[in-house]
Amino acid sequence: MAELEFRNLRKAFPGGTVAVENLNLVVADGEFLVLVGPSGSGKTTVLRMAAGLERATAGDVLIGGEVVNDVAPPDRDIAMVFQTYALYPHMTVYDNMAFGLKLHGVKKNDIRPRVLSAAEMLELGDLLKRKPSQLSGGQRQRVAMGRAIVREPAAYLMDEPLSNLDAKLRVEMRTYLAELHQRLRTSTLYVTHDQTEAMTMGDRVAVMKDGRLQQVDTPRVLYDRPANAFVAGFIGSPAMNLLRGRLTGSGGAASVSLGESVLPLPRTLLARRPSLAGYVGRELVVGIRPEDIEDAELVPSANGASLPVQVKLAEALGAEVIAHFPLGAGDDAGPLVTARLSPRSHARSGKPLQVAIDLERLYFFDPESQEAIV
Amino acid sequence: MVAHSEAVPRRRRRSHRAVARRFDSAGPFTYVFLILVVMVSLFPLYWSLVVASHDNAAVYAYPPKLLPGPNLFHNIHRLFNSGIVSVDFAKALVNSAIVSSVVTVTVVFFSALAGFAFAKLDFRGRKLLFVLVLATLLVPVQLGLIPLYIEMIHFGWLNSLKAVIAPNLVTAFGVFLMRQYIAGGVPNELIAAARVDGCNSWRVFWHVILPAVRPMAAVLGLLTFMNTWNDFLWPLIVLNARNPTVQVAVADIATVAYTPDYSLILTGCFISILPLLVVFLLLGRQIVGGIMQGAVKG
Repeated sequence: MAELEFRNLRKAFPGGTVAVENLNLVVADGEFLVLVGPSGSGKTTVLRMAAGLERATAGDVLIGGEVVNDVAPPDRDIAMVFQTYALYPHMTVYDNMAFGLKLHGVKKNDIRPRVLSAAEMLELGDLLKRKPSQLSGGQRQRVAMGRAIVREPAAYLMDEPLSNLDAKLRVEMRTYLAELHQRLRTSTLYVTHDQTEAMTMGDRVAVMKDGRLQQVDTPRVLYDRPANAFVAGFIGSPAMNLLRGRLTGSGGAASVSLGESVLPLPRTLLARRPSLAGYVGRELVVGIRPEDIEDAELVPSANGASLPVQVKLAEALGAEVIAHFPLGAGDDAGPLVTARLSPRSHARSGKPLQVAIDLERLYFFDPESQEAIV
Repeated sequence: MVAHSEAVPRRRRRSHRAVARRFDSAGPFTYVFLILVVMVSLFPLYWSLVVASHDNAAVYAYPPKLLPGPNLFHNIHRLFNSGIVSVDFAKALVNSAIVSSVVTVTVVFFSALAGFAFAKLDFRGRKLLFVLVLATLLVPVQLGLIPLYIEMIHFGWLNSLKAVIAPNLVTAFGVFLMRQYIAGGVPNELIAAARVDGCNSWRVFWHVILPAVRPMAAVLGLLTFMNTWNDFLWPLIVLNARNPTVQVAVADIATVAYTPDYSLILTGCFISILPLLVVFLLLGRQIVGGIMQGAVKG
């Protein structure tokens, strides 16, 4: 086990595309760190630089405190799991798992027990003589994991290893991987674009956009205290509603107007976010999580504002109702807001509804820098 | 009304089935056409067997002889008996086998190696080099005969099999075929996985690329074996009657006498085709599979 660190890492491809810009990130010893971001955010490039498959334009990659910029992939003591599993199609499961050990000069007598032990851990014991084409998606995924585990590396690098599985299997394998990490406690850098995966699996989550690290923290902190509008919108499902508004107020009271709607801000909220005072009379971006909006009928003691809205679309999903509506009325009603309502809500498509917003949980962002106002 | 609305889909279903049947199953005309194609294709081979099993007069016989005669083994004996024919036909067969086998192995190996480099390795001038390799396909073979001949004289390889093997060790066509197959058929992640596992470029080629290109290697191997076995012009230039390949030997039989002995020539032709048939029968299934796989993967 070892710490994995990126110092001022930069990667520019020929042609000028900058994939990663000034990345500083540490995966602590034994930590499961998830690197999340939309396609093209540079997360896979970071992983490939960690593996030695891509050379950094500037900055350092450190494994166990040693700079490994010039160290070849096999000598970095890392193992990688790929999105497409990348199993050798002409080799059996056993040979796939043993191949790396053979190339590293491990003696034949030592290879067998290591492969068998990993196969037992991953419930692959009966499949060792099969070829990848004879395995299901989940089994192939486990073989790819097994190939990494037998190496007993200092760190695991995982590049969206669950993205090719169907939804049910993905949930199963997510739990499986989390358990496996609890058992092995090996430093892991896990890349995904799925924020649910990131939030459920990571000890910490690093969010990337356009090659830049936006925020790195525990899933709870990312959700509760996003550093900027991008993180706020990326973490959470459905995504946070981000609306342009204007802050007005005087004498210690303030309210925010969103189109035709005016939401009075609680004094406790203003006390928690002192910087808001500097935005009185100015535009800002207001963030409302869908789960902080509820059918007003179901919140009798709502401390927030109650607003009449016209529901455009209501999706009853069983455990919840997802409703979409504009906050205003008429043709210029503004952008649609998404709300995650209780399954007991009477929200129906095309019908009016009174909604309550938890004003204590509003988020504010600077309209220019997109940074959170705290 | 109800009966009418049911009748329409049934009729439509029937017509769908009829269309499917028309495309899925072969009718009598298809069979007749295919039999004709097979007859036209096989007739030269059959005719060479017929003439090879008669004496020389059979070629000029009218009406022409259409059934095999009794002289096949007699003609084979004459062919392999150097006392009767000026060339050592057995040696020619062995020479052709050596040349074709060596060239096939090297073409497949070097084409796969170069194809791997062009498809998956990143190096300066890769595109330009590949275009240069492809450009050699535009140069007619005949244009290279004299320079190559002079080169062989300087090497001292005239009348040696090396002169036939060396210029054919790798072909631009083979490199192109392999490059396209590897680029489309071998995922980059597989190579990355091999590198993380501990492979250098050579080991990636040996452990990952070569097993992956096996179907295309069989196709290229068969094409190369056929081309080399049937090659006539270059061996005729650099080899002589004492050390020929089989095509040169057949030509020598044809030119040795004032009146060509067609039964002997066609016996030689017939025997020279047999090894190709054997190779095709051995590799046929894999080759067809390889062609199909290549077609699907583009």
